[in-house]
Amino acid sequence: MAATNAQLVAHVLRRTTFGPYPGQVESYVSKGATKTIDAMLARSALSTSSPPNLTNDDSNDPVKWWLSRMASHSAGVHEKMTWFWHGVVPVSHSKVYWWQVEWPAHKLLRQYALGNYRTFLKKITVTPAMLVYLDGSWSTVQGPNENYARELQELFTIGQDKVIEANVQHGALALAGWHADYDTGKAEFIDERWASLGSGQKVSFLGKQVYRSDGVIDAVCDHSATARFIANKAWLYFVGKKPSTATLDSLARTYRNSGLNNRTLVKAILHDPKFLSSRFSRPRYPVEWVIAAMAAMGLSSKDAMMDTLWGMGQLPFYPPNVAGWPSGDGWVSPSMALAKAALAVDSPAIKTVVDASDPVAAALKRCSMYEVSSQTRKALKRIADEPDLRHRKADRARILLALCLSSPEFCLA
Amino acid sequence: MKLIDRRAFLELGLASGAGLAATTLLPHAAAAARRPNIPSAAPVGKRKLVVLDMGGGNDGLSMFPPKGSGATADAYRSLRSRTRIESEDMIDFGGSNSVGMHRNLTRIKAWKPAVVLGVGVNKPDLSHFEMQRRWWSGDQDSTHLTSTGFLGRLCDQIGERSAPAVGISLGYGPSPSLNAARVTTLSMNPYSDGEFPRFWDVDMDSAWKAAWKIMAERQSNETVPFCSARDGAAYARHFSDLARALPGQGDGYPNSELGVQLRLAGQMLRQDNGIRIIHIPVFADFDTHDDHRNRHAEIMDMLDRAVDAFLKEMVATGHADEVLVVTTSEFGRRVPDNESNGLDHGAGSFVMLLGPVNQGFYGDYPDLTSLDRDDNIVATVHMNDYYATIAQKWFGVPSSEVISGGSAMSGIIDT
Repeated sequence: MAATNAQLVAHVLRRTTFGPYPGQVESYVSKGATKTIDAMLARSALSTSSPPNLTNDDSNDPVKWWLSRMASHSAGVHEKMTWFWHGVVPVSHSKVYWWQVEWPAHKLLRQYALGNYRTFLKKITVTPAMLVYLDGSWSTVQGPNENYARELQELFTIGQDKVIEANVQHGALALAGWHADYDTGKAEFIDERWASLGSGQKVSFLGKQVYRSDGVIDAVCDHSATARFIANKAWLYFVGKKPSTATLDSLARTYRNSGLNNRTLVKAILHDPKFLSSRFSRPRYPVEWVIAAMAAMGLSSKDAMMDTLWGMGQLPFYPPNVAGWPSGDGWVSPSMALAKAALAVDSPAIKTVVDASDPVAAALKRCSMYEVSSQTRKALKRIADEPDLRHRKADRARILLALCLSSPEFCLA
Repeated sequence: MKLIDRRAFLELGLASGAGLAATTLLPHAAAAARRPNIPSAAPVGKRKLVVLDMGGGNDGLSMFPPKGSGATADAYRSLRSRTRIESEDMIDFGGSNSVGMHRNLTRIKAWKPAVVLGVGVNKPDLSHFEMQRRWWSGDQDSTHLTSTGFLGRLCDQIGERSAPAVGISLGYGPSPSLNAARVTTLSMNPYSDGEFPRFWDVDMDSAWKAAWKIMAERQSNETVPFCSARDGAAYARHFSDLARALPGQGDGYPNSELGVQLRLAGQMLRQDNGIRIIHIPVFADFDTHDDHRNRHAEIMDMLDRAVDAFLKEMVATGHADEVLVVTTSEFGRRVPDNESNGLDHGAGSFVMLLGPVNQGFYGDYPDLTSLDRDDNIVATVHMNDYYATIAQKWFGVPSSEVISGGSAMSGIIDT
């Protein structure tokens, strides 16, 4: 049976935004899936002109600020890619603990979310937050710190199987000389022989002679493995399963030929026919689940969001390590089911569900669930048919919504 | 790599979920001067394991530094001019004139641990992720790709299929080390009470649970993600019954995250509920690329207090003969220090076993005058042999069932 427009549009909105929020599918259903994809791609970046409070490193104001942007009804692919890059090239507040420098790094994610990966890497490499996070700060040619040179290759560009120790050591030399100044919050470069490569002094790196940090970034970005590595990650994120070799070859070629233009890559993925047919192929990640669930519940408390995300282990600005968050079915594990249910049982009674003649249909609509298995319907019907609740419509509506939010259909993307 | 410091987060007062139990900071008695009474090990069928997984790369040399006048001690002092443990910061472990112990491990010393020196692999990789994968899967030289983890295979050997959980990771997501093929293993947020969320109205709650049960029934015609989601829902309910029946929290635990994790482990291990293995990711920043000496010393103190509280509880409640505590880490640190007063990624590290074990050093101390080409120690004991020891000597499981090519070390555990 062919998928309906509502099913496809709901899928597109699950993958390209942090929704759908109630009513959103209905407003796009007449446009159809492809035009919805284009509409989400065309949505402009959300404004950063009213930044969070950055003065208190004990506060989590920036986390709330970001959650508000994700939950914005104007969020599109740009916002979704901002989150993607946070997991690929992460910086963690738990180590850096310095919002003043983390904010500019976050703005780089936004600036280049659909921009050029090479330019982004050149900037993030020497941004104070990254210098602190991966120990580039005060790494000198006399005492190079290898951490950034290793993770840059292993996790941000060419992939672990291509990393050899000589390139880690030489990369560290070329990257040396930077530090984050604690008074100004700026990155500074020491152009002296004990700290950095001398003018024109090159090191052998990935088969090239490279000079300083821009040379390192050019070399990793010129390497054919980088386009493939990022294309694979982006495909997994949007499509939810591994690409075939042919798909990955073609995607990597497209990305490389574009000069590592992120918008070109994402557009190619979203317009691949496999994107629309891959419904429910991966878990809804915690940020996706929490924001969509809160919208269905009609709630906006950022504290509640943060509590749940913390318990599930996916709080923005707090990646578990430099590899970001794992993908896979671990996000529908028993402990995740408990954490989600703990939020879902607090659902208020939604008026459209309370008053509906068919409360199951109304609850499903509220949660943008247009593709529902017979087993999940059976479970919902169990609540609708409960004699003790027949005259308690508000209470019944609350349980129905809680069960919808806990169902496989809502917990998968 | 930086492992997230959740304690710092908690101190921000954010993790205020219902599962967060009040913790009290109790003044700690001075370290016990005598060995607390751990009887000989319980019968094999009653034995349990706690694994302290020190992700990030824990430096073994700083836990048990060389001392005295040997060539290795000289090499240590010169290669680590900025980060070495000075002799006044060492305590005597006993049984060796050439190896000391970090003084922040005084409480642990009183528990008479077995220490295995120089545990590593044949061909080390310097990536956290590659080495964690090998340690979690029990795939020493990256030649036996498998979807199960070492601890998961052990759970398959020793656990009951009907148990709500045989292995539990007390972290913030599943651990690949516990991937099992036959029995249930899962993860639990250490600040959660593990109980199934409820509606407080009785009629609502019974409808909720009845509907949940239907929703959690696995359907043979559904895709893998659907089956995983329904299984997750089913085990969540099943495990909740176990969690509700746990005995009360033990006393005297420090206010660290490891203290909270070990206190919960204590609750789970004090009754026979089917749980046999508890994996504890230690959320401390072992990845000391800078300021190693101070940062590592703080972690050792945190470890010392939490482990001491746990073992005291096991003794006080009569379970000390059933529980073995072991440590793992994907690698140690580079032998020469870097200019940031830190230590880059290394190869082998040292591990400890606590419980019904015979105190002492096992394996040879790495020769610090003969390092590998990356300036790291050459392993003197293989990861597989360490794992084989745990499997065979503690659980009585033939090591070949769970690990390829390891042989159990003798002397550490009396079988």
